Amino acid sequence: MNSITTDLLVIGGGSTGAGIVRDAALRGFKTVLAERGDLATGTTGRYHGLLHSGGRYVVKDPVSAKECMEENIILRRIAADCIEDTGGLFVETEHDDPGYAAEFVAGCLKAGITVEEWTVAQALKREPRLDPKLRRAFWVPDAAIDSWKTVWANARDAERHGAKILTYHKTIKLIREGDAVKGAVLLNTRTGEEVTVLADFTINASGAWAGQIAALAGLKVTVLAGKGIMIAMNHRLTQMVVNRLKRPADGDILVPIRTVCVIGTTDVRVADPDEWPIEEWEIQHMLDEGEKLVPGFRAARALRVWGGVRPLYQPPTLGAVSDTRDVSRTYTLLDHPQTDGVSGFLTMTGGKFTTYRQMAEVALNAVCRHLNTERACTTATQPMPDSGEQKYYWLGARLAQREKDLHGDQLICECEMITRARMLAAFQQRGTDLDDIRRTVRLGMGPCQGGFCIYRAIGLQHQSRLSNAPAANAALVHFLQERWKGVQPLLWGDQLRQARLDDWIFQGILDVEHLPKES
Amino acid sequence: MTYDSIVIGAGYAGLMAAYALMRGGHKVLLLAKGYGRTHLASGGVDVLGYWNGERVGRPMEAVARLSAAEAGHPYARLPAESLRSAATLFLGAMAEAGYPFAGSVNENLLLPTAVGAARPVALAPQTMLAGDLRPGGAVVILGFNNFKDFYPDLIAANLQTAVTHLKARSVSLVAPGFENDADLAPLKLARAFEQTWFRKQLAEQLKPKLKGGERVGFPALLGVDAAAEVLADLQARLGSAVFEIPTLPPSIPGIRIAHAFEKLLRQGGARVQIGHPVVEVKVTGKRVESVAVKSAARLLHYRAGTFVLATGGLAAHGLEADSHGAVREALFALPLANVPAAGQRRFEPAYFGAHPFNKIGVHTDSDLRPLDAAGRPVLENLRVCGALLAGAEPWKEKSGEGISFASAYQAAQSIVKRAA
Repeated sequence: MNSITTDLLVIGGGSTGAGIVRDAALRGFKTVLAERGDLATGTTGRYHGLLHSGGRYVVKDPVSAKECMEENIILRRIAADCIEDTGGLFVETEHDDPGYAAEFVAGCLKAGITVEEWTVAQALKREPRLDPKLRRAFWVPDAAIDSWKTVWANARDAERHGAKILTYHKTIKLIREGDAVKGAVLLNTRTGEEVTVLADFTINASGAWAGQIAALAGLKVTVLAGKGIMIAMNHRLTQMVVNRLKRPADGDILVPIRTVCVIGTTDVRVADPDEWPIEEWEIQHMLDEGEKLVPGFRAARALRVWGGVRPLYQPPTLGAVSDTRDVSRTYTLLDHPQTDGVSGFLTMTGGKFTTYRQMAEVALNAVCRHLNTERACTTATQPMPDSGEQKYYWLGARLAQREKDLHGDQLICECEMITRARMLAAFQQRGTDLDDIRRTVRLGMGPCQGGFCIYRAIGLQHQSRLSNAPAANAALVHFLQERWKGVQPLLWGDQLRQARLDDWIFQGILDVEHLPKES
Repeated sequence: MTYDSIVIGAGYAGLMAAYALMRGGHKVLLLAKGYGRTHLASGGVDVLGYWNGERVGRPMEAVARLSAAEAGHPYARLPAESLRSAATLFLGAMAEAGYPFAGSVNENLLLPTAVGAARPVALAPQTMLAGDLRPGGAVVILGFNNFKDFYPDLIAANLQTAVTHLKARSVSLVAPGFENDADLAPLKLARAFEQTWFRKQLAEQLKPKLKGGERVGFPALLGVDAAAEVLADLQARLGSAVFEIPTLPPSIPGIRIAHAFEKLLRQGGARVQIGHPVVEVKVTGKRVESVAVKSAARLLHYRAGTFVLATGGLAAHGLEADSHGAVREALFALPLANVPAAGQRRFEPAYFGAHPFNKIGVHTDSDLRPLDAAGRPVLENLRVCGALLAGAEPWKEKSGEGISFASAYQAAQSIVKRAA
C-alpha cells in the first residue's frame, strides 16, 4: 500500500477544498487534496455560475450577503480571467411585492453592496428581452464566474506551491487514534489501489457530503442537501445577471455564462446527495418563472437540465427544518477539537461558491491556531496563475483567439470554438475521459450537444494513439448515454430537432449502436 | 396558378412523390421550405437494416415479417410491391440523371460507416459499391489531415474487428493544393475532387502507398455533380477500386440525389420551388383548396386537385412539439397517432432504447390519406408520406429512404389512378 506523510489533508475537491489547498500551500503547508471524482464535480461544477454581489440575500440572510460582497471584490482582483463582468439587475415585475424594494435597498446599504436604481427605460434598453411591464430595476455588481476554471486555477497554483492533488481518490477511512484524527485511507477508484495519507491535520471540505466524511471519524455532523435544478438556454437571453426583486425563491434568477444563460433554481431537500431525480414539475416551474422575466421564454431553445445539491449546515440547536430555503447560506466551521474533543480534524461546510476563499482563510486560520504556528493568509491579494493582468473574460474571447489563425488549425468544436491544438493539449493534460475533457474545454456543451465534435474528439484520440478502438467506441457510447440524461427532459421545439439530427448522425449515418463490442 | 398536384416538402418523400406524379402525367408543383434529409443522410437507400434486434440480410423478407408483426408500422400499411416498384423507379431515375445506383431490395449490402461499423444498406450509388464488406478482401481507408470529419485509423481498426476475412488499414495525406488550409469544408473538398489537377496530384501521392488488390475507401467527397466521372478517373489513375464512405453532414452523396431529382423534375416540366415555405392552407369540407407560400411582401396562393404532404416529422418542421409536451402537425393539424398520454413516459432512460415519442405521426389508409382516430379519411385529396407517418424509428431500423420512397410512390399511384 502506498503511503504519504503530509502536514495537511483536505478532503473534497470542490471550490471549498480547492480554496483550502491553495491557501494552505501558499502558507507553506505541505498539503494533499483527495477528491473522489474529478475536481469540481459535486456541487461546484453544478451551479449556475453566479458571482454573487450578495443582493440576493440582503433581506433574508444579511450575514451571507456581506460575505458575498467582500469576496466579490476580492475575486475580481485575484481571478479576473474566470469572471465576466456582466453586472446584475434586480427587477420588480408585476408579480412581485412592491414593498420589497425599500427593504432591498436598505439591506444593500447595510451590507456594503453598491446599488443603483435604473429607470425602466434604461433597464429595457440594456436588456430588451425583459418583460416591458417591469416596474423597477436596481443595478448591483453581480457577475458570472466559471466555477471549473476557478477551481483548476486554485488547484494549479497549489500544485505550483508543492501541493499534491489526488483526483479519483475516495476517502474510505479516517485514521483515528484515540481522540485524534491522523489522516485517511484513500481508494484510487481508477486503479483500485489504496493510499494511506498520514497528516497532522485533516480538513473535511466535502460540502453536502461532510456528514458522511465526519461519520468516518465517528462524529455527527448534520448537513442537509438542498437540490436545485438549472436549465441552460441556447442563447444569452440577457447579457446581465437578472434577479427578481423579491425574497429568494424558485426560478428567479437568470445568469448569462459563456455562450448560454442559465435559469435557476429549485430548492428541494433530498436524503442522499448522490441520488435524486430531476422532476417534470421542476422544469415546468423554471419555464413558467422564466416567462415572467423574459416573455417568450418557453419558446426559446432549452439546451440541457442538470441539478446540484447545496450543503446546508444544520446546527444541533436548530430544530427540524421544513424548508431548506430557510437555512442560512453562510458557511460554518466545525472545530472538532473544541466541540467534540477530537484533535486534528475540522469541518468547513455550508457557504456559497462566491465565499469559497473566505471559507478557506477561516479554516486555515483555525488550523494555524491548533498547530501553534503563525502564517498569514495571502490569497486575498495574490492573483491566480493566469489572472495577473486582471483582465476579465469576455464573450468574444475565444473567437478573437481563433481569428488570429483561421486556417492554421481545425475547429473540432464549432459551438465552443475548441481547436485541435487545444483538444490535444487537453488530452495530454487530463487524459481521455470525455467527461473530464468536457469540463476542461466545454466540449459538447454548445447547441449541437456533441453532434459533430464528439465524433471528432473520439477520432482524434484514437488517431493520436491515446485510445484503442474498443476504448474509443465505449467512450462514444458512454458520452451519448450521458448526454441523453441531460437533454431528454427538454426535448421539444428546436432542441428536439437537434436531438433528432444527432440520432440521424449517430444511428443513421454512423450506426454507433452496432460498432464492434469488446469481447 | 393551378396544378394537378402540389407536393409540399423536398426530402426523399417529396422528391419521389413529385417525380412519380410527373411520370404519371401530372402537372406538378413542388414547394419546400428548404432541402430535406438528403443533405443530412448517408446517401444510400435503406429499406430495412435492423429488425427485432437483428441485422437484416434480406430486406423484402424482413419487411414482410415486420408488416405481419407491427400493424402500426408504415410498411404494414403499404402494399409490398410499392417498395419494389419505388426502388425500380428510383434506380431508373438516378441512371437517367447520370448518378447510377445499384443493389436490390432483396438483399442488403454491408457498407462501412465513418466510425467503422458495418452497416446494412439496400441500394447504394456506384461510388460506394466497392465498399461492400461481405466478400472480405483488403481495404485501405484514406483520410486527409486537413479534413476533420473522417478518421481512417479508427475506421480501419473497427472494420478489421467487425468483418471476418477483411484486412483493413489506413493512410493519411494532406489534401494537395490545400497545404495552408487546415480546416477544409466538405463542399470545398468535394469541388476539388472535380478538378483534374487535384486528382492527378492526389493519385501521385497515394498510388505508391497502395498494394495490389486493395480497394481504397475515401470520405464521400468525390465531386458534387460529376461523381461518376470522378470515380472512373480516380480508379484509372490508381489502378484500384475506389469507394466512398458517408461522412457527417452535409452529405455530398445526398446532395447529388437531391440535385438529380431536381434536374429530372425540371426537365420533365414540373415546377420546383425550394425556399418557399407553405404557411397557410385552405380547406373546405374534406378537400384542400389551396396552399399559400410566403413570398415577397405577400402570400402567393396555389390551387391543385391533389396535395401531397411530405414535410417531415419532428426532425423537420412537419411536426411541432412544444414545452408542454403537446405535438401538432404543422399545416393541417392532422390527427396524430401514438401520442403518449399525459403522465406516460415519452422517452426511455437508455439512449438506444425504444422511445414512445419517436413513433408519433399520422396514420393513413393504403392510399396514404390521413385518418382520424376512428379510421376515417379526414381529407379526401391529401396524401401523407415520408417521416410524417406514424410508427417507425427509421434511424434505428435503417428504413428511412424505403418508407419515404414506398409511401411517396404509393401516394402518387393512388392519385394518378383516381384521376384516370
